[in-house]
Amino acid sequence: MANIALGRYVPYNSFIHRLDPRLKLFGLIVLMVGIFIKFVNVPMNFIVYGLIFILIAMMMMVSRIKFKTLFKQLKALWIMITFLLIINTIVPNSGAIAFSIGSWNIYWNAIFQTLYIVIRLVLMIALTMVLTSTTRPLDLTYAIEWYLLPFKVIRFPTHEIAMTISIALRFIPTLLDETYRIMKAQASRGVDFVSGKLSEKVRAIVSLIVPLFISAFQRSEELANAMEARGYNPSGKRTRYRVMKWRVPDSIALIFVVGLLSGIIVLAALKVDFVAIIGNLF
Amino acid sequence: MGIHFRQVSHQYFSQQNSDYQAIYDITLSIEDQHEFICLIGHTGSGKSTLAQHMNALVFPTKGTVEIAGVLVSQKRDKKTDYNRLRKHVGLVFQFPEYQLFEETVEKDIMFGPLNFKVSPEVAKEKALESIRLVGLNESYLNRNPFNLSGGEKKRVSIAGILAMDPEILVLDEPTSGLDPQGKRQLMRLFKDIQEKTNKTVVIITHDMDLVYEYATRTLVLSDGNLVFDGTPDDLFRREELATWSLSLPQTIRVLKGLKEQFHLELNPYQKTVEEAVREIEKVTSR
Ligand SMILES: Nc1ncnc2c1ncn2[C@@H]1O[C@H](COP(=O)(O)OP(=O)(O)O)[C@@H](O)[C@H]1O
Ligand SMILES: [Mg+2]
Repeated sequence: MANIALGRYVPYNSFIHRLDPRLKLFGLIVLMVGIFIKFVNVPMNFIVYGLIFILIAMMMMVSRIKFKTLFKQLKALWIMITFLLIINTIVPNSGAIAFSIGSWNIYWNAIFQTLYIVIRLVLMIALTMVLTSTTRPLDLTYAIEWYLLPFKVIRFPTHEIAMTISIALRFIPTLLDETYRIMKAQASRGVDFVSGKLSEKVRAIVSLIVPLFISAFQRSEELANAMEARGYNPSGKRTRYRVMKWRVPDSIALIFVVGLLSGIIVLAALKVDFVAIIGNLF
Repeated sequence: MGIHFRQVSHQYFSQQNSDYQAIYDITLSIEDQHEFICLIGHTGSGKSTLAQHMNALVFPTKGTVEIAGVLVSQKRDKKTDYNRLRKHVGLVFQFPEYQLFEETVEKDIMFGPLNFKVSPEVAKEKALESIRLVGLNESYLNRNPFNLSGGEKKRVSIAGILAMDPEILVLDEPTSGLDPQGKRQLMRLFKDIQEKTNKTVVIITHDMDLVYEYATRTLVLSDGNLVFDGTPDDLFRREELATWSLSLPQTIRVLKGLKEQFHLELNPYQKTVEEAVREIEKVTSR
């Protein structure tokens, strides 16, 4: 149960933990763009995915994320993979046939398409995990707020939005604990969350959701009152406890990710094919 | 039958913090009948963790718990019907009011029995029986549980567990958040229930006055270790109370103070205020 909480912030003091949240958020977006770029042919795609995976694995090692937690999170992907594979085989396809089941043809194209999506998903999840487990949720919202600053000119409520996000993030673990607690309390009353018929399952879920919502509403009301009692004013000017500071390693990391993305774009644009190059060498 | 802990340890695994061992090597037995047990100890001493082992909500990471003849060990066993254990041992959580979800009190009380495949008619009867047992009248049955006061919600959720007819009733800090009078009423209620039904009642509490007055047996946890298992009379004569972060009941404290201050020949071990007053009168009238 407690492993719903994957991707929670883990307080180590690694190189990646110390990076500026603005840089980390930017890096995430840049690398995600990189993941979605297509190359000249199938082997080339896999080579680049492999390289990106090695890079992410290194980041995970540096930020001391256990691979076990990543795999746990990927378990739920199985359903998705099957689903995608079915969709991709139903959609009309062309090209070489991988194998046939009766008169049903499964094309290499379909398999590769599915694989691409799955690999991209895995890479994105891994990347997001690196970000969320090395960055305090609050720092992350500060970063988002910072990026939204230009919109303040058009009276976009940057601060309010950042505050809302940070409160939401703050309460995720609390609500998870609460969920766990209510599940135990209802299990005590004979609710079986593990097995049972569909109608029993539905009732089990209702017995969980209703108390969860009620306590969430109660909490939000209490929080709102507490904030007001302390004179919170959304439009007021305020200073911060933790100030974001841009340091030399951040600049280095920035150059690195931008360089990486440029490299990937160049490889794709020039239709570079490693397999062919290596083939030509010999 | 009953509950038998054999060298039970429990460790919580956590991703953010390091793993935390909540209870260590606990061996103890609780019988099905006639016991009124108070489980005490400082906050974080592992009381709730221990209580949740009693109906297999959590599994020991070491050792075994035997509940009603069923052995619960480290792994969830597919063949074991854990729900049966939860019927045998009813556990009322701390702040049980958060488990209410139906639109009427009656439906909410019936929820437990219905989960244990009791017929709706019997469940209805049970609801009526248990709402009376917790000291509310039957007009409450048709009310919306969310419109009740805190104390009433507590009673309704306790009734919800009582309606399941457990052999052993475990209550996690049932009196927290209530006023002193409400506390005493509720404690009186548990004692009544125990006397009427002969069930064993296990209560987690921080209120030493209530422990001294009501418990037939006390279990003391300190940093996850079971450091005391015996009668409250023995407990409050122990020297180690302070190291277990426990205080004396008011009666003993006052009488001990009087005894030392005025060198009176009185016995400070009186369970209730009335008994304490009588003891003082006895000494002063001499
Ligand atoms: N789900 C959990 N995950 C991690 N640690 C926990 C969990 N529940 C309790 N603990 C820890 O175990 C210790 C004992 O908790 P608990 O049994 O609730 O104590 P008590 O009820 O005596 O206050 C506490 O230090 C608490 O922080
Ligand atoms: Mg507790």
